[in-house]
Amino acid sequence: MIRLQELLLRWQDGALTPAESDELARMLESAEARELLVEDFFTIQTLREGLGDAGAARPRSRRWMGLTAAAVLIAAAGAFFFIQRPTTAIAHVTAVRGDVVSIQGVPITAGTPLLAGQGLKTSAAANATIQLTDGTRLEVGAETTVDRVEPKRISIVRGTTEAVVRPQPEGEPMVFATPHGQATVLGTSLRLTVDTATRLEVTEGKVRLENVAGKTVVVVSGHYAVAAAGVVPVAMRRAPAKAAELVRAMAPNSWLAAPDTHLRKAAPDPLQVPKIQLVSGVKSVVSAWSGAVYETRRDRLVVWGGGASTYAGNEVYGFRLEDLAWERITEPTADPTLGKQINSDGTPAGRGTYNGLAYIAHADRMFATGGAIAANAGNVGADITWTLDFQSRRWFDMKPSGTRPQTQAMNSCAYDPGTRKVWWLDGTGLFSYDYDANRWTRHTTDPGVYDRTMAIDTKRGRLVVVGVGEVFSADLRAAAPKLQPWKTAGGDAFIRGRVGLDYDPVADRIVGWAGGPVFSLDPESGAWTAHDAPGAPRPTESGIYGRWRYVPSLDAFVVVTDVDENVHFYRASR
Amino acid sequence: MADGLKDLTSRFLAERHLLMAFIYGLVRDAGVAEDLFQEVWLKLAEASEKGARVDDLGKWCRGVARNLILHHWREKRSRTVVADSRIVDLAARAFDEQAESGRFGSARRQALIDCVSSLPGNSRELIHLKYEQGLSVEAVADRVRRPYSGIMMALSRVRKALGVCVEKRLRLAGEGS
Repeated sequence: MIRLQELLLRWQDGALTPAESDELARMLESAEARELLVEDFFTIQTLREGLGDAGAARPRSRRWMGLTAAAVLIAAAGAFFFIQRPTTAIAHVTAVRGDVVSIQGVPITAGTPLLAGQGLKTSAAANATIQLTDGTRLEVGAETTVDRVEPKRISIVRGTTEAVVRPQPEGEPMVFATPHGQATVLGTSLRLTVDTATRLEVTEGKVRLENVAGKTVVVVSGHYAVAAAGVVPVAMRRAPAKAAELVRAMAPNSWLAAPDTHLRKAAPDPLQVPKIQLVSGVKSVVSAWSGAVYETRRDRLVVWGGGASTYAGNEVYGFRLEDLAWERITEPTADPTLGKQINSDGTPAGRGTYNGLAYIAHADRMFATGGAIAANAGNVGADITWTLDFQSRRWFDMKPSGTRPQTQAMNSCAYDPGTRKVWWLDGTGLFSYDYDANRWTRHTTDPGVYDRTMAIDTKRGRLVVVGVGEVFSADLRAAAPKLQPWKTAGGDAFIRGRVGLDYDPVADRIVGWAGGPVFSLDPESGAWTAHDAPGAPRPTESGIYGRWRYVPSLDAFVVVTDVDENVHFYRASR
Repeated sequence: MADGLKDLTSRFLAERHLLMAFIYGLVRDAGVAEDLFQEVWLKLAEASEKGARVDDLGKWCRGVARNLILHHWREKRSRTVVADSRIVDLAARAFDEQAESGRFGSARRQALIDCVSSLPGNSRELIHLKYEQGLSVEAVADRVRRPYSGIMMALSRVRKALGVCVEKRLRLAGEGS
């Protein structure tokens, strides 16, 4: 029977080979072996429980036992009961709001102890607080699965969890594991959001984030990083304070208006600059086919618009997420050279920018070309390639080499961090602008593809263009990128619009909005999903374009729809 | 609490130790074992709610637990654990046989606990590491800096010594098989 005991020990360790399990099964055909198996299992169970009791100072933990299927039975009796647990709890669920259940679906209430290896799931609009015995506190957000809680390791499968980790002994850090990597902590405050990628945000202290490929980055206080397949994690500045406060209070899949955030408050006094007012004044900065970029370095939504017969102001506005306030990044040219694409002071003429703006992140500049020039009765072109240097707040006429596009009004573009280029589509073909080489390159001839919005799936290096009822894509990692029709499913009405569009790297979705529900496109299946959420603003009639942007530091979207409307945030489900 | 539920609960709790021994022995994870145990209760309460008659409660619960355990292994897709139902079925059969004998009751549990406390310190430590902390034999070997084979042998000896001690105590108490 020694061999049987040996096999049972190996069974307990999960170390049996197929041959050994065959051997064990054969042995268990005998009654004597079966009796020994029961004795073995009984002994193990007794030792597990008995030793827990034997240490007299160690309290037994108890767990409320909720019922789901048997809820009627229990409710009728108005009763609940608990069953004594055999081993010591390593954590307690100290607060529960909404539906929270164990991994097996048993309801959890405040006071429930967690044994090592147990976890919980929260439903929509629910959350829970877990307190570990060392004082570490986890705030588990809605729609989150904390798969396993162990004294030194928390496994999170999806959703959002904030943690205040007590200082850990040297060499024994706390580890937060997700499907995309792990964060190693020695005592800090952090926030983890797990979807198709893992986003780590550090409030205090220092955390080492490692992706599944073993690439690591140290994320310090005030920064965040993302672990995802095929992406080297990089630490970035953390969420701007006031916006973060607002967004954290938002339920998943909901909208929120940031109070008192009308762009008009930052506009110049019309009486001081009468020559730029034209037909409708500063309102057209947003309403007249205008775009924007998101400037990640300073966490600002940068809006530039107007043009045509509506407004000749060429000032650029920035909405700071740090303090939820608008500012003028550049001042308007008070006496613009109407009908020309460049003013006498060397600045670009005011214009409707459509989807023709992009933030060249590695250069910290806004790219702009094309658009509908203000008071352009002579229908002059707008082919100057401009960049706005955010550091100096100065415009530069780049005078690039290469084959420049025609730069019509209804063009679209996006910056790709992979190629470090701005990709451009204007109705004649696909182009790219290389800021470092200051050169344009023509890639294809695609007549008729214009009046769209572009976004780039940075995980796959895929350009996506939506509008006029069609979706196109191009593989930017290919030697010769080509624009190709993409037959997506659903979202028919959405893709007809002049939409706002951006890539959400945490959800790994192209996400757009043009009024009504938010739409997300699964880049693998090509299916659009509508997300109805309360509190959406009224969309801009002329289109949304780049004024709908994903904010990496917030893991949320921002949109501005009118100079007299508050800026809105949209938080997706995780 | 309704009388029916109260009665069902006390019958279920009477089966707790043996049922947990069955479940834990087959899943070897305290958290999973506890969750499966509670899930068995849910199924039992549900069956009771629907008016199902359960004569041999222990056997009924083990049958449910067997299915849950197999489901658990299938979900884990473990390659190191027997994925077919042979060993689970044989274990269920063994427990059904022994449950009828009444050998594995509270007296044996108490005797076992008493016997552990009479073990020498190093043997108690092995029991503590292997069964209370749930370490693998390899991890125990690593912890006490002894070879794997030595730990396998030492655990076998300790378990044998415990078995002898338990039988002796049960005999002295006039119980046992």
